[in-house]
Amino acid sequence: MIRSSKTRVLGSNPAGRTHILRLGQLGERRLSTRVVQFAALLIACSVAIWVHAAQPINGSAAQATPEPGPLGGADAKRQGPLQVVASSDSGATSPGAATSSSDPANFEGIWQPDYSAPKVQSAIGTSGALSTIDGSAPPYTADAANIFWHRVLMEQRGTPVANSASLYLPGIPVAGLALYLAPMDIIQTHDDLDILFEGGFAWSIHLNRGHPKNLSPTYQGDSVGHWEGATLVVDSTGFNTKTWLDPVGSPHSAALRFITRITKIDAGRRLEFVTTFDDPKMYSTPFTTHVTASWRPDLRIQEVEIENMRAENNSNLVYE
Amino acid sequence: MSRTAVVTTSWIQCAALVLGLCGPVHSQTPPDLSGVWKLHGPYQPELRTDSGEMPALLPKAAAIYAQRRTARAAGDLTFDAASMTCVSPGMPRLMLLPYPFQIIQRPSQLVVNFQWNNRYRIVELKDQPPIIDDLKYMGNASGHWDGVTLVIKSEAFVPTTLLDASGMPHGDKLQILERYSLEKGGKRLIDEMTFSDPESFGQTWTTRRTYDRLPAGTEITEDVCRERIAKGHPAFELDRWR
Repeated sequence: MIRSSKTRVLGSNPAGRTHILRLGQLGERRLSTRVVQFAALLIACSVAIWVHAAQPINGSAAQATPEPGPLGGADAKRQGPLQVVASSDSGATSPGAATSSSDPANFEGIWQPDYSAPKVQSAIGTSGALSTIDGSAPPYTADAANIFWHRVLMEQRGTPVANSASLYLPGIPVAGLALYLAPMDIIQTHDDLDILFEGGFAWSIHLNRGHPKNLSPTYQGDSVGHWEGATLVVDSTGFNTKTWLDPVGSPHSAALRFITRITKIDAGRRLEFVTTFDDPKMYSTPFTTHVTASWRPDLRIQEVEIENMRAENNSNLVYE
Repeated sequence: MSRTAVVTTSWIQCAALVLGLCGPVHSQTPPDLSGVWKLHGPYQPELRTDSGEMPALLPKAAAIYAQRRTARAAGDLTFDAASMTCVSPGMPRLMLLPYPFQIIQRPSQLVVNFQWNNRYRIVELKDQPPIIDDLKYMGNASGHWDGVTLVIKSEAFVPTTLLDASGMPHGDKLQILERYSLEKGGKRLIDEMTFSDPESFGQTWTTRRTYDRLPAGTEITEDVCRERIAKGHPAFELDRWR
């Protein structure tokens, strides 16, 4: 918010007033009125020209626009610590900063999911399968276990079952965090938080509404979020059954619903996603997973045109 | 006039001068282009200049364009990868479609979420030279504010995209300079696009599109082009959005 601070210099900055007062005192010291007038005009012009010049130099939208920061200005929807979190100015980040915005509820910027070694390896071919936060396998129901092991077996036979990931179709966004380690770009406004992934997909989290009634099932479902302190609590539902919860074959039903709690940790250097999945048809109890991402202002997300990748990678897929 | 009066007058002059010079700064505060927008007026599958003329295509490009227009008229879209395989139509073609798009304007980026196949475009608004790291379907886009107009320069395009649905070609030296501005109290968005490509056009040329702001609460929804194609539907369901 560089420009807004410069604007304040002209409007109400005490330092500016002091400066003018000193010029008046010069007049009292019997300097010529013309000299005072000239000096004042010169300074006024200089200041004005400086402000004009500052506009294109700092001409990014946010610097110039009196726009509420991602916080929407400590809005009334927020509870707890966020109400003391500051104005949008504190949300600014500087290039190359080691940590993200000082505002704990400002997630904007580039983050890269952290690699974590697979915690569950029950058999060959199951590396990368979903594991709970305490390192155990998810509580598959009998039906889900059958589906999971069938998919593992098909993969081992060289006839993998097609799924949304292998077909480069949209997937469940939070599952993509563990699947793709490419950087992601978080765009945050008062109404929405969008996580842009390489490959063209985005996780749109609506902050200004609940789930619509009669939700049509989709690959990415419908996500709504609200703030609990500096944690964004995201409720996702409305999924079709064409996606898996992991690249190995953990299934889900249309009844899938999950809550993801997104929080900055490590003094803003990392972002934590703690997700509790609830799908009684496939899992005997709700279970929780954990993924983190690191602040990477030095990276940009790249354009990956996934439509070009299908033909070369899906020739041996089995469609079930 | 007493000296006090002269001094007072000079301060009033000074204040007036400061206010006068500062006025334009405040009145030219960049507008917020955020919102969901949709093409105003009929969809035009063929790009033409502002005056409705064919851009000055160089002979080689003109021959390719003529061939593709003939094929398209005969229902043959094999020259168009976007129609055949859902590959990104890129810029500017996504901006020409009747599908809506959402603009999210942020401090250092402007993001455009297109309804069509849910592609997005990122425009860097950082006060730094653009980083050209690869050829892209969307090009490498960087923008700055010229008063109330957002000026976006895009370059380094994948040369296989088409500038319009009829197959207007371009090379990898294509540059698109866009000037975005609001009209009608923010209800209309204007995109004035100027094209230059020494391999395709004898001179730069300009066209524009107008968009209507859709009602607050309008959202970009999931759109999977591949599913349409699998069902035998066209990649671009233009009638649905007209």
